[in-house]
Amino acid sequence: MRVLASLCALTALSIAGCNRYEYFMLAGYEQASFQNEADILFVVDNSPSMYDEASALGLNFNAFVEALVDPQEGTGVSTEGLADAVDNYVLYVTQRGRFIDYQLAITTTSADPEDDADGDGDLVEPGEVGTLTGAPDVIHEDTSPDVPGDFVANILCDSTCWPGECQGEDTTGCIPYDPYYECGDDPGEQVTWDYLECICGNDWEPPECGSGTEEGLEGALLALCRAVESPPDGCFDHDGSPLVDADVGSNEGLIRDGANIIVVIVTDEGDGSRLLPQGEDDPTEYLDIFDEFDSRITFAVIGPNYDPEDHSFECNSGGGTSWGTRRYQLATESTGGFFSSIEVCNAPDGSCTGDDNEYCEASDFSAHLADLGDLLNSLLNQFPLQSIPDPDTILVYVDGVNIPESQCLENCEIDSIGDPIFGDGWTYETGENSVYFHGTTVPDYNADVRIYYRPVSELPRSLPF
Amino acid sequence: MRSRKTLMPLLAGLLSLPVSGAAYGQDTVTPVDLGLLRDSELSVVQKRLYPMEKRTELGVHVGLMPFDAYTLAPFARGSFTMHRSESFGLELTAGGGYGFKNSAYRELEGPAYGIAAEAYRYLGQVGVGVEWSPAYAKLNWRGKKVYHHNFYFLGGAGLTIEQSVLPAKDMAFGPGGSVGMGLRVFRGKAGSIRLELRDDIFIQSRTQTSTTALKQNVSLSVGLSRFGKER
Repeated sequence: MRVLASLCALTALSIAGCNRYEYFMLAGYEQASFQNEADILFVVDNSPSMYDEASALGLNFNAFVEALVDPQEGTGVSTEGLADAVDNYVLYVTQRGRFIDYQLAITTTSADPEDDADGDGDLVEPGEVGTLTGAPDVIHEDTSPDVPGDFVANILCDSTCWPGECQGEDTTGCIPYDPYYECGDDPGEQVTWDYLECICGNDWEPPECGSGTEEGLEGALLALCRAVESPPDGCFDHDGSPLVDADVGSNEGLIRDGANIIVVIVTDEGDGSRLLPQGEDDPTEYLDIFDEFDSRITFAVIGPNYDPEDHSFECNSGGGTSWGTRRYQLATESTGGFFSSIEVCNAPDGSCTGDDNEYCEASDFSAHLADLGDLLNSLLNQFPLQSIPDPDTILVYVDGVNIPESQCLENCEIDSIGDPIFGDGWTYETGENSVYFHGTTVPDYNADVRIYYRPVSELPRSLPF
Repeated sequence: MRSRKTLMPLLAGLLSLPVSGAAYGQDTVTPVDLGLLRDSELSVVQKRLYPMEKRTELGVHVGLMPFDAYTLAPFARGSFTMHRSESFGLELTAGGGYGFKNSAYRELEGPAYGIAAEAYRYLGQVGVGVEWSPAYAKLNWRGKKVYHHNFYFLGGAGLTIEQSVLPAKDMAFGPGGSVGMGLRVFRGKAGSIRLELRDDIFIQSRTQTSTTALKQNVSLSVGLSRFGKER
C-alpha cells in the first residue's frame, strides 16, 4: 500500500507542476499599429510666380484621389448606389489597405503676421501664419460630398495669387477669358476667369498674394501648432514665432489622433523659415519640433529643380536658393517622403540653365500627385516598440513570413543626408525605438505585421495569468 | 464469510478422521494430526476471468492535453503492450496531435498586453515503458452487471516532438520520461476500455531564447484495446 500511495503522490505532484516559458514583447498586432488615417496638409506658395503651378495642382488633383482609393488598379472605387456600397464594404473589410481615410487642408508659405500685402488692414489673411484656407477648411469625405471639387476650389479660389486678366491675344502671365466655357465643363489645361467664377462664385475676388519670403517649414509648423490642444513648446519659443495662446486650437480638426501627417509643400523657391539663419541648409531644428507632435510627420515637397551633387539648378523661375531648397530635400529624406521638381526642361538639347529659361515649364502634377498617393500607400514602414528591446532578439514577420534583418547595401552606401542605404529587410533604430522596413519588404496596409522581441529588462508589466 | 466459517471446522474434522478404508488391510493405523488451521493461515484468490499474461494488447487512444498554460492539444495515440505476467507488461507507444493556442495565449498576445510566450505545441511522441498492474477487481454495478477491471501504473522513456507557436515554428525534440496511471475495464476476453492519466516529462531546447527547460505534457485519454491470443 505504501508503494501505491507513493506512486499516486508522485503522479499528482508531477501533474501539478507548471510549464514555464520565456516571454517576448509583441508589437504590430493588427489594429494596434494599423493606421490608415492620413491628414494631408498642403503648404502652397502663394507668391505671384506660382499661379501656373497652383493651377496645375488643382487641375490634376483627380490623379491623387485615384491613387488613393485604388492604388492597385488606379481606377477608383465606384460609389454609386447600394450595390456599390455593399461591394465597397466587403472590399474594405477584406482589403483595408486599398482604403485610406484621408483628409485635406491647405495653408500657405506666408508666415509673416506683419505682412499686409493688400493693405486692407487685416494682418492675418486666411492661409497665412498657419491658418487654413477655404470653407470647409478641412476636407473629409464624411463632411464634404465632393472632395476633389472642394479641394480644387480651396486651391484656386483661396490659396493662389492670380495675375491680372489678359489683354489682347497674348496670354502669357495673365488669366484669359473663355466666353464659351460653361460651368461643369472640363477646363482643360488652362484656368480661365470664367472657370474661376464657376467654382468660386460670381462675387469672388482673387485672394491676397503671399509674402515675398516663403516659409514652408514655418507655415507647416504653425498650422500644426494651431491644431492641437497642447502645442509643443517649440511652437512658441522659437525666435520670431508669431503664435500666441489665442491661436491654440484655431485649426481644430486638422490632426486626428494617431493619424499619419503628410506635409506637402508646393513652391518654386527654397525655404526661408525664420528659425534658421539665411544660408543654413540643415532643417533639423524644425524637424525636432515636428517630432514633438504625437504623430508621424512626413514631408513631400514639389520644389525647385536643384541638383545637390553639382550644386546647380535646372530651371529656377522662382529664384530659389540652393540652401533653402536643400532644407526641403533633407526634410523629405529624413522623414521618408519625396522631393519632386516643380519645373522641367523641354529644351532640344536637354539643358536649361539660368533662372528664366524659355524651355522651362511646370512639371506633370498628375505624376506628383500619384507619387503622393504612392507615398501614402507605402507609408507604414515604421513600427514603434513599447519597450527597449535586446536587438539580437528581434523577430519580424509580415503575414507570417519571416523578414530578415536588412544589411546596408554594398560598401554601406550613404544617402545625401549621411544615412546608410539599406536593402530589403528591417532595421532597428535605437533613437526612435522603432523597427523600420526597407525596400520591397515595406508592408502593405492590410499586412499582418508582428514584431517579437525580448525587452532589455524584465517584462514591463506583470502577466495577467 | 459464512462459507469460510463452516468450511474450516469441516475441513479440520475431515483431516482428523481415521482413514477407515485403509484399516481393513492393516492392523495399526496412525492418524496424521494436522492441527487446527486458522482463518489467517488460509487465502483464496479467485482465478481471473480475463487474464492478460502472455497476451499482447493493441490499443488506440484519443485524448487531450488540457493543463498547459497556453496550448490545448487534442491527440491520438497507439499502444502495443506485451503482458509478461498479470502484473507486468512492456509497452510501446506512438502518438500525434496538434497544440492550439488557447484563449489565454490569444488574450496575452492581443493589443491589450502585447506579450507572446515562447510556448511549444505538441506534435507527437514515441515511447517505450513498463506497465505495472497491481490491482484487479470486480465492480458490481447496481446488482445487474459486474465489471472486471484493473488499475495500472506506467513508467518509461520517450521522445516528444513539439513546435514553437511563434511564427518561426522552431522544432524541438525532447527526450524524457513518462509516468502515469490508468484504469482498464475489460469488455470480455478480447478487449478493454482504457482510461489513462499520463505525464510526459522531457527536456526541451527552445531556439529563440536559447534556453533549455523541463516540460510536462499531462494528458487525459480514453482508448479501446484488443488482446491477442495467449502465446
